[in-house]
Amino acid sequence: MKTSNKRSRSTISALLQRLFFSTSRFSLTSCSRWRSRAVAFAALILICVLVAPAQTLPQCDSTTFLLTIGERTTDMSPSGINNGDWMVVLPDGRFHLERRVQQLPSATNTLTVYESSLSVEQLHHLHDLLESDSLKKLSQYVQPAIPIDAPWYGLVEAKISRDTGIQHVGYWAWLGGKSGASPNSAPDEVKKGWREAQSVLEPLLSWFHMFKASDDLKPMEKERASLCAY
Amino acid sequence: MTLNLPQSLRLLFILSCFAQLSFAQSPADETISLVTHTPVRSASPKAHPPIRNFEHFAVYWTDEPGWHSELQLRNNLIGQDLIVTPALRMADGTELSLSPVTIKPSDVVSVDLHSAALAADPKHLPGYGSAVLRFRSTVIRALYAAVMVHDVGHPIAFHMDAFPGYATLRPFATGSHEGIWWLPNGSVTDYLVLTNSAAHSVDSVVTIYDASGVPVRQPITLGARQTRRLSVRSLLQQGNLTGNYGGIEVGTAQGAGFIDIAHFVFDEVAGFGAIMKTFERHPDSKFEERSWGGVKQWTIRAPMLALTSPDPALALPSGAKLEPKVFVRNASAKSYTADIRFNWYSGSSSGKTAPMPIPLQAHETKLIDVAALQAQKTIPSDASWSSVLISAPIQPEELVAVAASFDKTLHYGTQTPFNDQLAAHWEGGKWEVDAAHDSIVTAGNGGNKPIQAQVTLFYNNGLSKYQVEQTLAPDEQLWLDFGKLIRNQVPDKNGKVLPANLTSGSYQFRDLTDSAVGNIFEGKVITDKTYGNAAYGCMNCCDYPDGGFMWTDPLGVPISDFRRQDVGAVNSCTGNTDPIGRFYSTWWTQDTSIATANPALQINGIAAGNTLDFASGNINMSSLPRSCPLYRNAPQGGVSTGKQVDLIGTNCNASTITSYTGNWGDLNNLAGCALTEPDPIPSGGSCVAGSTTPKGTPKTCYQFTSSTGCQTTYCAVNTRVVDSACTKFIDQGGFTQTAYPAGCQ
Repeated sequence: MKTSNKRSRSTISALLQRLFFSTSRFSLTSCSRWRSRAVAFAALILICVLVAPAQTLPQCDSTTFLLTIGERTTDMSPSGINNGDWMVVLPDGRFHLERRVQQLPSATNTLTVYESSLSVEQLHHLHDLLESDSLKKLSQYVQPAIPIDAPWYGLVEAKISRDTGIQHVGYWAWLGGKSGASPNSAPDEVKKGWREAQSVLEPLLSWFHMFKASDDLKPMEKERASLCAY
Repeated sequence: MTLNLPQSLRLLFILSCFAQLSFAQSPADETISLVTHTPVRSASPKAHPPIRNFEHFAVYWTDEPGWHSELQLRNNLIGQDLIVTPALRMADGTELSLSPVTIKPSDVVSVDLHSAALAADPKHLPGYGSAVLRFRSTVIRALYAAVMVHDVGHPIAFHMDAFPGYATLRPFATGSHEGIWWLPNGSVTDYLVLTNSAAHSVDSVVTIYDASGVPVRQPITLGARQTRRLSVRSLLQQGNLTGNYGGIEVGTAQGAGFIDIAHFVFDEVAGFGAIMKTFERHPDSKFEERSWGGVKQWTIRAPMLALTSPDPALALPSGAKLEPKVFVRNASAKSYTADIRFNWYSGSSSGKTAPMPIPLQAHETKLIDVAALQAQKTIPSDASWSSVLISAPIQPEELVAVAASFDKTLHYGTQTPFNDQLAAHWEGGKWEVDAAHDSIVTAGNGGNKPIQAQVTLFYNNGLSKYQVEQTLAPDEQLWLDFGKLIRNQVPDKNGKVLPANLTSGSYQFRDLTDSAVGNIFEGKVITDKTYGNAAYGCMNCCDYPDGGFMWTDPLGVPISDFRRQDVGAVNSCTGNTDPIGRFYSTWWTQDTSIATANPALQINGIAAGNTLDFASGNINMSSLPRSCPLYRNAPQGGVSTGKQVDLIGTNCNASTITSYTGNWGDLNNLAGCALTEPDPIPSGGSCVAGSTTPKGTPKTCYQFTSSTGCQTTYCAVNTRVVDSACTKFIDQGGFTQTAYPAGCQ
C-alpha cells in the first residue's frame, strides 16, 4: 500500500485527461479537434460552475468505482455499540474508507477517514475475488421492509462495477425481534437469498476485514479527503 | 457534437439537477400536532419559563357585621395543580396570611374569608381591606380570582376582580383610575375604595366631577398596603357639587400601578346594590396596541344590558320593568363626539341600531336613557338583551362607561360591565346553577370577519367538560343559559349532556379562527332568584407575555426538501405552549443560499450550512394586568441543513431494562450512514403497534399510562436530518409524544 501526497492535483488532472482523451476519439481534423477540446473544456468549466459551486469533489456515493463495500452492526440496546464501515475502491486502486463508531447512549458517532491506494497485488487479489463465478451469479440485494423491529442487526452490502452495469449484492442478519415484524417476517425466499449471499460474500468480507485491520492504514482529517467529499 | 463527460461528472450533474427539481417533493412526516401538545424543541429560554412568584390583588373584601366575603379562585393551568396562599390586608395595612389553597386544573375553589381569617388568627377582628393572592407558577395568569362581597340577607352582591400586580409587568408610574359615580337617590350609601398594594406609601389626588365636568379635588396619601374607604356623597358636599351622577378620577404621579379603586353603592332598605366599574388609564397607551379586528376607533362594549322586558331567565317577578341606562364619561380634557349603538336580542330575533352621536365636553358625563330608546322604538320594546357599543376617535380609556338596569324601586335589576378587550382566549370563574341561581353567558364577535367561537364548561373538579361551538358574524353573540342546558339535557357538540344534578363549575371562551389575536368579547351574569338580583362576573384574557419563539430551534432541514416550522408561545393562563406561527405573516431566513422560508411555515433546505429563520407578526403580549395589548413580535431561531435519513428500526424493551431506541439511516448507504438514538422513557409501560410509515410499514412504539390516567405514546419519527458527514443528528426530537386525553400529563 502506498500513499499519494498529490492526490487532489492528480484527481483533477485525471479527470481532464479523460475528458480530452474522450474527445480525441472523434475523427476530426487537428484544427477542429482543438476547437472541440476548447469547447469541451469551456463546457466542463461551465458545468463545474453550475453544478458544484461549493465543492470540487464528487459525493462519495456517486464517484466512479470498481467496488463499494459496507458492513454495519447495530446494537440498539441501551449501551449498544454501532459500527459502520464503508469503502469505495476506484478502478486504479485508489480507495476511500470511512469507519464510524457510535457508543450509546450518545447519539453521535466518531468518524475516521482513510484514503490511499491499493498495491498492485492487493488490486489483483481484489479483482480475482470480484471475478468469482459464484459472486457474479449472486442474486440482487433485497432490503427488508423498514422499519425493522429487532434489538440487533447486521448487514453487508457491496456494489460491483460490471460491464453490464452495477451489481448490487448483500444480506441482513439480526437477533431477536417479533416474529410478525420485519425482518423476521421477510419472505422465506428473501431469507434464503440472504443466507446464500452471506456464504458467497464471505471471501470478499474477509478481505475487507483484513484490509481494515492493516497496520498501514493511517487516518486523515475528513476535511482533507480528496477522492470524494460529503 | 457529443460531449463524453466522465461518468462521475455526469452523475454529479444528474444528481444536481435532481436536487433542484426535488424541491417540490412531499413534506416530511414530522409535523407538529396542534392537538396533542407535542413538546416544543426549542433552545429559546422563552420556551422554558422558570417558576416564579406572582401576586394578584383584589381591591376589597370585608367581614364587617352584616357583610360576607367569598374568595373565588380558579386554576387556569392545564394538567397542574395550583397552590394559592391568600392574605388579607386590613385597612391599616397589617396582613394576615391564610391557609394555602390547592386548586385542581380548571377547578374553582371558594374560601369564606371570615372563617379563613378566624382559622388563621382566632383573635381576628372583623374589618375590611384588600387581599393579596400569592402563588408560584410559570405564568402570570395561572390564577383567576375574584372576591364576591355580599350584604347578608339583602340582594346586594359586588364582584371584585383580582388582577396581577405590576411587579412583573410594564411599569405603571404615572396615570389614573377613572370611573363614574351614581347616587340614584338621597338614601343610598356609597363607598369609594382606594387601596395601595405597595410596601411604601403612595400619594394620589381624588377628583370628583359633576355631570358637566366641574371638579372637586382631594389629595390623599395611602400608607403601605393600606385601604381607605371614602364617600363620594361627602366629597360632593364638601365641594358644593350637585347631581346624581358624574366622574371619578384618582390620579397618581408616582406609583399608579400600586393603586386600585372600586366604587359601589347600596341601599339595604330598597335592596339595591350597584358596582360602578373603574378603569386604569395609561397616558402612554396607544390605540393600535389595544384595538384590532378591523376596529377603527376606540371602542368599548357591554355585552349583556338587560332591557325593559327582562329575560325570564333573570327570574325577576312577572311584570317587572327595568330602566336600562348607560353612563358615558369623557375622561379627557378635550371635547369629542362618541357614537353609541345597540345590538339587541329577543330570544327569537335580533337586530342593530344605527350609531347615535353623543357630544361630550371635557370631563363631562352623560346619561343615555335606553328605556326611552325602547319607548321610541329605536330598540324593540320586547327585546330582552342588548350589547352596547360606544366608539370615539380617542386614545384608550379617554372614555369610560357603566351600564345598569334596575326597576323603579331599584330592588330588581342587573348590570353589565364595559370592556375594550377582544381576545382569543378567556378564562372565567365560577358559574352556579341551583334552585336559587342561574348563570347566563354570552360570547360576541367584536371583529369585522366571521369567527368560530367555542365555549367550554368545566365541571367535576375540572375533569369534565362540555363544549359548544358556533360561527359568529361580526357583532353577533351566542347566548348560553347554563340552567337550561342542564334542565333540558341539551347535548354539546360531542353529544354529551351535563349531569342533571350539576350546580357549579368554571368556563372558558376561545376564538378558534384566530387563536393568537382573537376577536371575542364576553359577558356573564349569575342570577339570584331569592332576591331577583343578578351579579356579573368577568373573565381573564389570556395572552403570550414573553412573545413567541421558534418551535424547533435549531431546526434541522434536509437539503432539497423542507421541514415545518412554527412559532410557539407560552399561554399566560394555561401554561401550555400554543402553536401560533400561522398568525405570523412574514417569514424569512438570514442566508437564502442555505435555506429559505415562507408563511406556509416551511423552511426549505438549499445547501449544507447554518443560518437563522425569522417570523414577524402581531400577537397579544401582556404588559397590563387588566388587558392583553397587541405588540409586534419577531422571534428567530437557528437552522441547520443536511442529509435526510429514514427510520430503519426500533427496539422497544418493556420487560427488564426499559428502553426505546430508534435507528435512522441513508437507505442508499446504510453501512456508511446510520445513527441510533435512545428515547428517555418512563418505565412501567408497554410496547405497542404504533402508526405506519408512509410506505405502510408498521412501527413499534412505547406506551405509558400515568397514575392520573394520562396515556402517553412515544414513537420514533419516520425521517430525520443528519450532518453531511453523517456523524450526528442536526434536527431535534427523534420521537413524538402523544398524550391522551390531549394535553394531559
